[in-house]
Amino acid sequence: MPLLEIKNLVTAFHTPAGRVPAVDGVSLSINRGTTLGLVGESGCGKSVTALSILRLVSAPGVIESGEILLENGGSTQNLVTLGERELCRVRGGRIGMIFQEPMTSLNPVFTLGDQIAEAVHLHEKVSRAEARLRSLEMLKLVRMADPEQRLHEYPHQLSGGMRQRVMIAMALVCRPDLVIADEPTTALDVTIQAQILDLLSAVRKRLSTAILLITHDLGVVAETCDEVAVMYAGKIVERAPTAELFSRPLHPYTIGLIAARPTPGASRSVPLRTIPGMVPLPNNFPSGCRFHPRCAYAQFPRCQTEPAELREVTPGHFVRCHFAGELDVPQNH
Amino acid sequence: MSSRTSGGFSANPHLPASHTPMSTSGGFWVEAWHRFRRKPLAMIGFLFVITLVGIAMFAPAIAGTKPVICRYKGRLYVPCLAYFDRRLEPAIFSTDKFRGTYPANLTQKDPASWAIWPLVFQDPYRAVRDNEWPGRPANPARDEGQPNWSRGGWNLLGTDQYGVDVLAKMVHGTTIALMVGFVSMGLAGTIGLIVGAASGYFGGWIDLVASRITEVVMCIPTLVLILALVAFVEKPTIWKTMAIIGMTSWTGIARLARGEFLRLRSSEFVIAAQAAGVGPLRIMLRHILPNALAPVLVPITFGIASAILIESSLSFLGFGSPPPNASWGALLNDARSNLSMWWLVAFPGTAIFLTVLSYNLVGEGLQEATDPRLRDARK
Repeated sequence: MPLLEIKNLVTAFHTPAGRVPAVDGVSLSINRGTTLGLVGESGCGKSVTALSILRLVSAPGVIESGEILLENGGSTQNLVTLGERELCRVRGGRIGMIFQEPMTSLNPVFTLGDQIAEAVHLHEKVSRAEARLRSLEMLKLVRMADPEQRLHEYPHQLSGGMRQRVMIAMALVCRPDLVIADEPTTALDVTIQAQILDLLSAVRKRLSTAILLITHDLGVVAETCDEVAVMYAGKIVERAPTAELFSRPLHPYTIGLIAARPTPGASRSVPLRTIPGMVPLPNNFPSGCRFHPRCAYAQFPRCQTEPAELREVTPGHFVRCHFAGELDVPQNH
Repeated sequence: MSSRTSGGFSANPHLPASHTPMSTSGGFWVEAWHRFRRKPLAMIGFLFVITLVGIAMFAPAIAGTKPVICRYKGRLYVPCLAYFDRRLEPAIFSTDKFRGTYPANLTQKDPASWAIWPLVFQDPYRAVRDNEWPGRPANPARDEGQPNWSRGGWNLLGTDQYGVDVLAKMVHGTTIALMVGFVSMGLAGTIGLIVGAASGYFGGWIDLVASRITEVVMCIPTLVLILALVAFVEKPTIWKTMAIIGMTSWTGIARLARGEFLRLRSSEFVIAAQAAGVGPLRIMLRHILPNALAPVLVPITFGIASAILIESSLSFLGFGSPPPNASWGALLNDARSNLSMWWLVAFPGTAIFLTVLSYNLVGEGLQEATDPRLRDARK
C-alpha cells in the first residue's frame, strides 16, 4: 500500500473570467521512505497539487474531484473529505511542508525556538522543557551552527540558507511520514542549494521520511529522487523511475526538457536547445493533446483532436502520448 | 554580540553598540523603541503622558485635605486613599467625628499625633474653610478667586465660583482624562480588532456584513450619535460615557485591522503555520495579531486624543459625568456660565490641549517608528 495516493485530482480556480483548472486529473503515488520528484514549468500546477494535498488552496480555488488517500495504520483516510479538526492533525503531524521562500515563511515576531516548539505542542502533549529539547535536537539534526543560541534568535537575524534549515526542522520535528518540499532550493544560491539537498537526503535516510520534491530543476531531480513525475498544463505527462526517465524519456515534452539542459564540455557555439512556444494558460488549454502546439512530432491529426491518456508503456513507466515508444527520437548528447 | 554569532553578519566593531540596533537581538518592538526614542517630539509627548499618569496616581498626595499618612491614637492611617474610594477612609475618623476637617481635629483629639500632608492643602470637591489650615483664610469665591500669587499662593490657579481650588480639581481630573482615553480606546480597540480580524481573515459574507456595519457606524456624525446614546442612558456616570465613546469610535481601527488581516492571511508564514497544523483561532491570535498590532496601535493613540476631546466636549455641553467627578471638560462648563472668570477656561483648556497634543505626537512617532515606508522616506 503506498503511503500517499492521489487519484484524479482536479483543483480549479473560479475566477470572474471563468473556471481555471490548474490541476486537471492528476494521479500520483508515493511509497514510504521514497522520494518522488514532481517537475514542470512555472504555472503547470505543481504547487497547487502540493497545496491541494494539505487542503491549503485558498479561495477561489476548490478541489472539485478526486481522492487523496493517506495510509493510516492499515486503512486509508481521504484528505479531500476529512474534517477540519482531523486535517489539522494531519498537517504538520503526518505531512510536513517546506516552502519556497525561507525569507518570508517564518513569523518575524517569534524566536526560532518558539516557532519550532509550537509545532511540537500542536501535535504532541509535551512539557515546555521537552518541546525545547526537541527543538534543539532538530536544529542539531539540520546542522545549524550554535543551536542553543539560535533558539533565542529571530528570523531576521538569519541568512536564507539558515532559515530554510529552520523550516526543514519545523517540518520534521513531529516526525511526519511525508514531507512536501515545494521548490525548497529555488530562492537559495547554488552552494547553499547543494547543502540543503544533501541535508534533505540525509534526514530522509535518518528518519525514513518520504519526500515529495517539487522543482523545475532536472539536475536536482536526477540527484535526489527515486521516481519522477513530469507535469505539463495541469496533467502528469510522464512518470518513471529516475534512471529510466533520464535514459529513455518517451514523452516529447520530457525529451525537450532533457535536451534543453546544458551539457558540460559542450561547444559554446552550439546554442541550447529550447522548446518553442509558451506554456498554455489553464483557462485556454489547446484541444486534443495539450502539448501538441509545441510538440516537434505532432504531425498527426489525432494529436489535435483526441486527448491522450496516461499509458503504461513499459512496467513502471507511464506516458501520456498517443505515439509513445513509436516516435523516432533522436538520441540526446 | 558580534563575537558570539558565528556565521552571522558581524557588526562594524568601530560603532558603539547603541548605533547598531539591527545587530542586537530583540526583534521588532525593541527596534521600534530604538527608533521612537530618537524622535525628540514624540519623546516629549510620551514623557508628558507618563507625567500625567504619575499625577493621576499620586493625585491625593499632590492636592487634598486628608493626610497622606498620619499617626493617630497609636496607629498609622492613610486617609488620602478616600479620594480613590470613600470606603477606604478609616472608620475611626468618622466615629471620632472629624467631619472631614483633619488638621484641627488631629491636634485636638490626639496631641501626640503627626501627619504628612499633601503638597497643596486644597480639596477638589469643596472650598477650604476659614482657619481649616491653621492661620489660613477661606478660599475666595466668584470673581475674587482670580489666581493671585501675592496672597500667599494658596490658590495657584485660582478658585471657581464656589471657591473650590482649580488646581486641586485639575489634578484630580487627570485620572478621568487618562481613564477616558485608555478605557474607551481599550473598548474601541477590542471591538475594532474583533470586527476587523473576523472580516479580514474569513472574508466572504462575514466581511460583507462587518464592513457594511462599519460603514454605517462611520456615516453617523460621532457627536450626534453619542448625544443620542447619552439621552438613552439613565444616571450618566463617567463609565457610561467612556463606554459610549468606545462603542462609537472603533470604526477606523476595524478598517485598519481588516486590511492588515487580509494582507497577512495570505502571507507565506501564515500558510506555513497552517501547513504545520495550526487552527484558525490560533493563527489569528498568535500569528497574525502580533504582526498587525503596530499599524493598529497608531489609530488607537490618535483615538485616545480624540476620546479626551469628546469627553471634554460632552462635559462642556453638560452631558458628561455629573459632579462631583470633576473632569477638565466640566471645569470648562463652569466657565461657560461665568465668562468673566478667565482662569476657568485658560488652565483646563491648556491641559486638554497639551494632553491631546502629546498623544498625537506619540501617535505620529509610533507611526514613523513602526512603518517601514515612512521610515525610509525620512532618510
